[in-house]
Amino acid sequence: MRSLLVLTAGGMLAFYSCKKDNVTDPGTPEDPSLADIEFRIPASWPLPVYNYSNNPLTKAGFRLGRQLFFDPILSSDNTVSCGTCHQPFAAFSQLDHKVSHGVKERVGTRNSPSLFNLNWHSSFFWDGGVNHIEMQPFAPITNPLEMDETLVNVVAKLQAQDKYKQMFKEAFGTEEITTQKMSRALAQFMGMMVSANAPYDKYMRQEGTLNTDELAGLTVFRSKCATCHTEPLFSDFSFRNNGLALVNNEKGVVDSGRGIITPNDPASLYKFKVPSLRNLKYTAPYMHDGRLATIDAVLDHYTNDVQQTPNLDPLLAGGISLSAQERQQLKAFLNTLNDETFVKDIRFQEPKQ
Amino acid sequence: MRFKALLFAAVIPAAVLTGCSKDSKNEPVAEPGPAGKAAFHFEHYAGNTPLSLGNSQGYVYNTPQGDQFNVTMYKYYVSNIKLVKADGSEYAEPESYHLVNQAEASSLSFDVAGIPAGSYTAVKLLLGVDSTRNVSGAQTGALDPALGMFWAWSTGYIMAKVEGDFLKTSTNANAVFSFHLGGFTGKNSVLNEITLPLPQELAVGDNTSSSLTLKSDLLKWFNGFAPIDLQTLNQVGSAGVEAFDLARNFSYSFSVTKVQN
Repeated sequence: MRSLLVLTAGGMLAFYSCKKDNVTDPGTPEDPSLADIEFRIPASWPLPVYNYSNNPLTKAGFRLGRQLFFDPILSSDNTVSCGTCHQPFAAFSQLDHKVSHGVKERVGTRNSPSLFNLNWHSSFFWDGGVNHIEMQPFAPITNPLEMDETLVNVVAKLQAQDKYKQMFKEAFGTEEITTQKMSRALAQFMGMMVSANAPYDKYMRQEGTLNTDELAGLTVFRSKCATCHTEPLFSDFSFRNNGLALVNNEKGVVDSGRGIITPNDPASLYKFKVPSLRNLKYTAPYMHDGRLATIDAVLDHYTNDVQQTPNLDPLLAGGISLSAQERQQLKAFLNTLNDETFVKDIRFQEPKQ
Repeated sequence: MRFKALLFAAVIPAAVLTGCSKDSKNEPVAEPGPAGKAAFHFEHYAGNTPLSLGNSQGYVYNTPQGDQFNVTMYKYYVSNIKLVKADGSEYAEPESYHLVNQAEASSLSFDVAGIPAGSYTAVKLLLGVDSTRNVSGAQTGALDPALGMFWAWSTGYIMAKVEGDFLKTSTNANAVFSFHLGGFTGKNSVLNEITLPLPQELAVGDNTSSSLTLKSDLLKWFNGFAPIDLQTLNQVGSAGVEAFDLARNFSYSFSVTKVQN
């Protein structure tokens, strides 16, 4: 792990050493949001899936990715950015939206997922259809219900702006813009969004304490939730049917989840990727379609309302039993997973134009 | 201290390489000894008739099952090209990804360079893009997703596309057909490597240029391996057994018709 850190730093040094003659360093001391661009693996976490081995992390690349993330130029009518449905203060989900609006107020069918610790994900989207963080941006950009733009147009629009030509040159050495450079810059920004500073994390690092209820809640969590919501990422990233009633979505059909991606595998029907339990305070509403508005509603589902539908996860047959006290303790523990420093991190806020 | 300094020394050269050599392609060190090149030309047919795109002429082709149709798009990936000598040894083109598109004349011919001098008796092609490049993040060049041969919602390249019109007999009216073949894992993978014998030896010498002409007969899409009835199967846009069958058919469409030295 130590050598990985050194590698990142080395890569950055090398970048600047060979570019200094013709490129201005965007990481000026005046921009504190670029002062600390280094990918660190939190202590005792597993190795990430994505480690920038083919996409060296630089301040210029990160800054470009952040600019792209918040720029509606990626959408067909220049109205919707990534940040529209992934707001920093909502841990990069969208506050108070069951589903989100794309261009021309088109309504999607799934709840905008929160974005953090993405470098540990081996698949993306509720159905896991995308297999690589660099491939992720192409889906919302081209989805008719989201940004409804073509990749050819996006590249042409970016290439027509001097600002972007300069930023791509700073990040990748030439003004020529490609979908690969665009998605790699976005991966540099999004992959940097690590949330590992909640009270739970401080407790695990022995930098802080949890109170009696919270500790009791941790015990409840480990016995009743942790198989799917595995520490420290609070998801095992598997696909599971958690027993939600099969109801029609915004399009008037039942969302078959993973079954859309693997239609020849009946066992994938109605399964969705297990979401992380970090930052729940900021990411309501919950579930793949945002049908549950509160954590209490989620707990009600697991204790009282699990439906026996095809491929129901065997761990949930009969629901989860929670006494009133356990429920209260579990809620106290979940509250220790909220990482305020992450949602307020100046590195991840929309840049001022 | 000493350990740290050592680590840094080991890491920096590697970092410099990735940081500063963006423009060079990851080509291996040149083969020792003389090398030449071969031009690959692709020609598309419907049976014995050269393929022409468009629907303004009505239905100009017939499937082996007797369905009348025309073609508005024919494009596919060819990758991992290998040239094979009589003794079985092979030369593999590095970074070998080509998008062949009937609508774009420049895509129908390309050179394979750096071929060690010698006589070659067969060529191997992977139809589609190998699974590795389907799981390795953003690609560029011939593999740029902007080229439209890519599924963004379920990551993977579209290996081949055929689109056109056909006469739907039940209504006696025009209908469109669209076959997009993808899926690189599991039993329905559409990836097929084909080995095509050459009608005569391809002689590659020092700095010489030879050529070979490859034919793809589009009618084979309908009966190369599994019979396809356009009346019942005319839309394929995701991985599955239909795409698998069509890909197998497609793989039988190729032959090498000419070698020039």
